[in-house]
Amino acid sequence: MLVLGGIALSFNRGTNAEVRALQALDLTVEDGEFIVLLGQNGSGKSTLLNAIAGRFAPDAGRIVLNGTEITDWSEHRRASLIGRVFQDPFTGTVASMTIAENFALASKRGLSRGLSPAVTEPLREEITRRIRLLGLGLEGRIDSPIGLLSGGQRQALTLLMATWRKPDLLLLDEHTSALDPKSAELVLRLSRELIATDRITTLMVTHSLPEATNLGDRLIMMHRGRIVNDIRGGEKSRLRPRELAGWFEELRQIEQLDESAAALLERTYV
Amino acid sequence: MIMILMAVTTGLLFSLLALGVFISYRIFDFPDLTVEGSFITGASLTLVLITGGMHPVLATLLGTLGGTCAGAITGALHAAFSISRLLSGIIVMTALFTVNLYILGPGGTIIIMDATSLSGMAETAALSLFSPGLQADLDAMHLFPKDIVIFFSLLVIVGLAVLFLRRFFATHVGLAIRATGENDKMVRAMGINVNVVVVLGLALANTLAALSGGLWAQVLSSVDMRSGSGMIVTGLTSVILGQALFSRARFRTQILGVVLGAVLIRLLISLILMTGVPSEVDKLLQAAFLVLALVLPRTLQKRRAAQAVR
Repeated sequence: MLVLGGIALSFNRGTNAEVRALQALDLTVEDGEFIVLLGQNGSGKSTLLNAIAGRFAPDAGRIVLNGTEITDWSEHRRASLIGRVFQDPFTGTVASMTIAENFALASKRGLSRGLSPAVTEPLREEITRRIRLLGLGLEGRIDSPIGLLSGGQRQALTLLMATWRKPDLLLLDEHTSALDPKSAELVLRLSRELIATDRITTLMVTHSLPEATNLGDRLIMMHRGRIVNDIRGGEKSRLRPRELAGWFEELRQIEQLDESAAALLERTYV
Repeated sequence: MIMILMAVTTGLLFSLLALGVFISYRIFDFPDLTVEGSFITGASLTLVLITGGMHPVLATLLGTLGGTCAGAITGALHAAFSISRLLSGIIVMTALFTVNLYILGPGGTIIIMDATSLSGMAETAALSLFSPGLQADLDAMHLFPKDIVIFFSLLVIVGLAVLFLRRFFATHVGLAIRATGENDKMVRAMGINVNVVVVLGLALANTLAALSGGLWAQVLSSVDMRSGSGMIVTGLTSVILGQALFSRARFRTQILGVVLGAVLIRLLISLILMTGVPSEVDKLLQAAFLVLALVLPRTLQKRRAAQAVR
């Protein structure tokens, strides 16, 4: 279970350009829950993921994962509990190293790394077996550099690497948005399968409305660093993209109203 | 004949340094100037310990540890205080100048008796291994038996170093080091402490530089603290030439490429010096080679790309 309490995070604090990316955000994620985070650019969804992963330190608030407070843990230490897939398909793997070597790195996520040979015969067999399950036909190429593969193939393998040792929490940061439609579909299918098989607690960021409606069992909409909608259970499964688009339109109108009101006030008083 | 033997011997000696630069520059993209100091630290510590009566093998190992510490400090400066890569190296290089002067004493130079060092052991070995007939034959070719033994010993030492590095970079820790240089974002997500890896990597790189210095000083039976200047260029030229020779090769083959690069450079310099060019131009030649090694592959690549377009 992941508990976020009062998470606040600002960029450029104390300057004119201050951006309040997260504003006293509370969120509880149950074990095995698959949450989709939806929001426009700048809504704070990726910042939230990075705050949980430890890339950005929050200005206030606590992060508790499975009963352990990890607020002060470094990014690499948190990686012992958290698996991640990034937006850029080239970020998740080391291009010049072979598929097997990349998986050897992943096989030790959060464990101490010794001076024993990394790519052993049992590990190769396990890699081959699990890559075969993906159905990409890559099981015969585990000794070629991973950089020779397409973005979609690399992202699929990154996903398998992130879940190689079952993480307490899986963070997917718009992990299909840089892929062509066919690869995106493939990576989404694999995500759904891997998450369901191991019942992995997952937070997935997206700005695709169809993805948000089709995937996960809880939908959280973010706007300006706050959670504005939290839909789960039956309501989530009945949700349609058209409905979500309507909500976004509503938010946009409120915002425009806000800005014109602000302009009016400024004209009157400044 | 003797020129070629000496050139290859020097190349093998510097290949250890080049392997160190390969780790810092090629893997971490860290132009590590620490080697300018740690090479001499290895050399002077080793010779001073030998002068003090220590067994040369033990003295070489302890001298090498001097480089390990220097590299670890450079890595720590960069990792812990975010001092830039170049500056961290310059800081430690400068500090080592005083350290080396302190080790060597006021003159900043030391000369030892051949017999007390690894050179001496090579001499003894040559005398007992080679038959008098063979020794006479070598004499006729103006070759010293000692140099033959040194050459083969170095082949073995460098071979072992290459084997060790190939093995090491296939271990879990080794993979973590290689991955950090290429994609530190991914490495953090895999739970690896990048700071620790940088310290480890630079410590290893300067260990090799110091070992190179320690052996080199024993072959010369002397060390002068100014002779460390330009070591980074020597290392880089070998690394880049090695890269050019094995541009598309696997990582473990690239390690061997670095050694070949180091030997080739020395052979080239010897050939040029044989034409009667004064030996002072050695460093100038090395600098020129480095420029060539940096520019040529890019120019060739561009030309090839241009032809491909046509």
